[in-house]
Amino acid sequence: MQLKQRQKIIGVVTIVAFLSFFLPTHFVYAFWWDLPSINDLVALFFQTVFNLIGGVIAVVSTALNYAVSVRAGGDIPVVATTWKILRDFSNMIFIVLLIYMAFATIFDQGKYTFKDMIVRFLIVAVLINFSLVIGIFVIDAVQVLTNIFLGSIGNIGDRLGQYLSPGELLPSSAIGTASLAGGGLVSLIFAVILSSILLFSMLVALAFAFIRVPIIWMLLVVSPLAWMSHVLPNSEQWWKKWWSLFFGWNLFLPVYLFFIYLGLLFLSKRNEIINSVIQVGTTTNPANTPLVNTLTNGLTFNLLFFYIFAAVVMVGGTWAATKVTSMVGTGFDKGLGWAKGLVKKVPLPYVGNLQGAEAGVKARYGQFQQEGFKNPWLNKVYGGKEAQSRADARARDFFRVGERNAIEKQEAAEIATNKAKIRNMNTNDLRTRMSTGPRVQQLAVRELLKERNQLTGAEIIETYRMHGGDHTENGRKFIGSVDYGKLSGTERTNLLRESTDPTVRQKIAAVMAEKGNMGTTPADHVDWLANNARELYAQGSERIDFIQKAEKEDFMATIEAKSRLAAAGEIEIRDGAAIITTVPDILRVRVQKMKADALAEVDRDAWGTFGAPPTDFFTEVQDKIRALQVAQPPVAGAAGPPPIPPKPGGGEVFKANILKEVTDNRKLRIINTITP
Amino acid sequence: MNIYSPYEIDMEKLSSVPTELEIFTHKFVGLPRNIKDIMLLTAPGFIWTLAQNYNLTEEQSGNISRIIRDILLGDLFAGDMSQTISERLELDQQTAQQIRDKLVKELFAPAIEDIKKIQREKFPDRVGQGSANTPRPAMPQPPAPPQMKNGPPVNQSNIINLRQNSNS
Repeated sequence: MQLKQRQKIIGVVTIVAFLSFFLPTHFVYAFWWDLPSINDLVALFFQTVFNLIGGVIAVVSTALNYAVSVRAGGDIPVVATTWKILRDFSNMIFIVLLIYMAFATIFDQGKYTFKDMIVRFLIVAVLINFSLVIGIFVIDAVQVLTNIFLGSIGNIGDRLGQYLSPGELLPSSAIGTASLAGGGLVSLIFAVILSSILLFSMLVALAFAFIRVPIIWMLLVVSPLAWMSHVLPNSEQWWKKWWSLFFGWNLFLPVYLFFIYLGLLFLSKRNEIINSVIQVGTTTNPANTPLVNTLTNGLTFNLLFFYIFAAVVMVGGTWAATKVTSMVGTGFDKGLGWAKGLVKKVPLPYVGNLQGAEAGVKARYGQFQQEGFKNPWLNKVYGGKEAQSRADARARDFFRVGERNAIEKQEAAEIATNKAKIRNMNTNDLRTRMSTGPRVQQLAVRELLKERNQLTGAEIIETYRMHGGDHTENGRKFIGSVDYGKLSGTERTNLLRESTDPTVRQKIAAVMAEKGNMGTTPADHVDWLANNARELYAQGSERIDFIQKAEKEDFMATIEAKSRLAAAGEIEIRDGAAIITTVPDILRVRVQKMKADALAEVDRDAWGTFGAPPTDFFTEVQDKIRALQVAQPPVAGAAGPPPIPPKPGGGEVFKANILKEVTDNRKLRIINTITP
Repeated sequence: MNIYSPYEIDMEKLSSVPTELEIFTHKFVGLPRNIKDIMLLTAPGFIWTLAQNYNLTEEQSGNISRIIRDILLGDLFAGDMSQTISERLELDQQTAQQIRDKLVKELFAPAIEDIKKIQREKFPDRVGQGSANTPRPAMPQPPAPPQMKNGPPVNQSNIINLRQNSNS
């Protein structure tokens, strides 16, 4: 507490001592043995204050003159050294930013992704090294403007002194001490107030003029950080703020000087202005009439107005300069945005213009975000939103949360989306994409090719395996919709072995039976049919239907397979009420039930060879035809009139129907030998 | 052997010559089903009736079966049918024309497009000429009144006069 008191005392004494430098060097009427009156003391006081203010104004005007002449830019070692440290530091941060950007891209973190940051990142990485040069360039450019006003104004203190003579404010010496009791004292007080206002306004201007230099230096020093802040979206405001401040503090001086210039111009023409406004002669000008009637000095309205005007210009100029420059700072932002837009519209080869290219890049990036890397291996590193959805679905499946098979449903949805995108692509293009890109895209391409019947058997099997085979619903659905007839015998055999889905296996086995993929020898055929009928079907009727699918390829094998299963009680075949199990019985019953077209399609081996002894099958067919002929004998024609043509027998018609359906001339020759 | 069946007419003979049988069966299995249907099922009754109507002998009936078979197999140009009938059956041109018309309009009608196709394939040059010089088998002409050399007796009670019915 004592210390503070002492500091206050020291401070006051120091200020008084400092101000004493500005005291006038001569006093009037002040002798200690000649005691002055109260009025004299008051007048002395105000005069002292006035003189003191006048002295300070003189110093401030000199300082202001110096301050406005200081150039903030140029080669300043301290600034350059500190700037280098921060520049190096910023360059170091770039590495961190790169890593951050990579992770943000992988995890799709809003505005910090590659797409959002890379352009600014590259621009800033280059320009950050020129930030000092750019700053100095701006300072130099503004200095040109400043120099114009400085050249026009000259020394501000001199000019103010020239147009605002403080002596005019004092009471005239001719008035004498007597007048001090009246209007002289008032005039003196006015002089003090006006000179105080002038001093204050000059101090404000001086403060701003001086403070701008270290601020600009500081802004230059931190310019690398400001540029760096432009990279990150959230810190971009700092970059804008920096430019706003930098432009503001640079432009402060020329704007301030402009207002001062205007003010001084006004002051220099004050008489002309007053005359033109009042439109009377100077002698009769009421503005020149002393404000206090008893006064004979020059404290007129005219003088008062221009002092106040000068103060307003000084303070107002400072205020306006700060406002205007902050507007310039904001305007800089807008101007930058406008310039960007203009640049983006400049036509460019291949991409139209930068705006178009940017839209293209954004679209491509959107696709990248959705699908991730095209390369299957890189896609595992980053597979976009689709990969994320798959991961989510996989997690749901693992933890048994939500619907079952979420991952498969997710994948099916992605395949459907991808298919919709490439549906109009031609087949050749699709084939080139069949084995490239992420797995989901490959599957979409392959499914489209399958719909167009453009997948080979091997590719169908490959696609089925890519789907995950029978372990996935998508795999089962895919293979379930395949035309197994397009596969080779080996492929079907392998697929039957590989597949675990009963429905799919039944379909494949049925095609294999129809195509004769049942082994090499007739015995193999019988084994294959019997085993698969037993394995793939539970019902006896289904087993029989399955076996009969092989009738076109090996009719007798089907009869023997049925016989084997019938003997084992695994199927039941009836001839009327009796259950039959032997090959001849089953053959007979089957041939009896078969229509002409089905018999015509029975394999050539069953029919036998032309000129060779008839086969059991041939004999059964012949017996059937003969039985039909007996049952429906031919009717001879009647001569009429009108003539009624003969009607062939049932056997003849049945044989004709078989002949009509036969497509194998060797079978035809054998069937020809049947006599009804 | 059924002489009224274009399929069976020479089957015994063909069967004794394997190469000829091979050729015949090869051609037959390649035919469209409706032509096979004519050859196997429709033609025998039709030819029998034709033989009755025109009092054709068995030999003439066998020949008309062969002509029909050859046309259906594409071995005979349909544009020559009228003349071939006249020559092989030894009939006058007018009767041969009538038989030809009857065959084309009635027997071949269900399979006329397939017969045309076979004829075009087998006789590509003659089909163009035939259209100018000879009546096209595939384009039946308006029905002509039956003017048979020995026309069958018609029971008038079987004919319904539609005009009288409509007027009455």
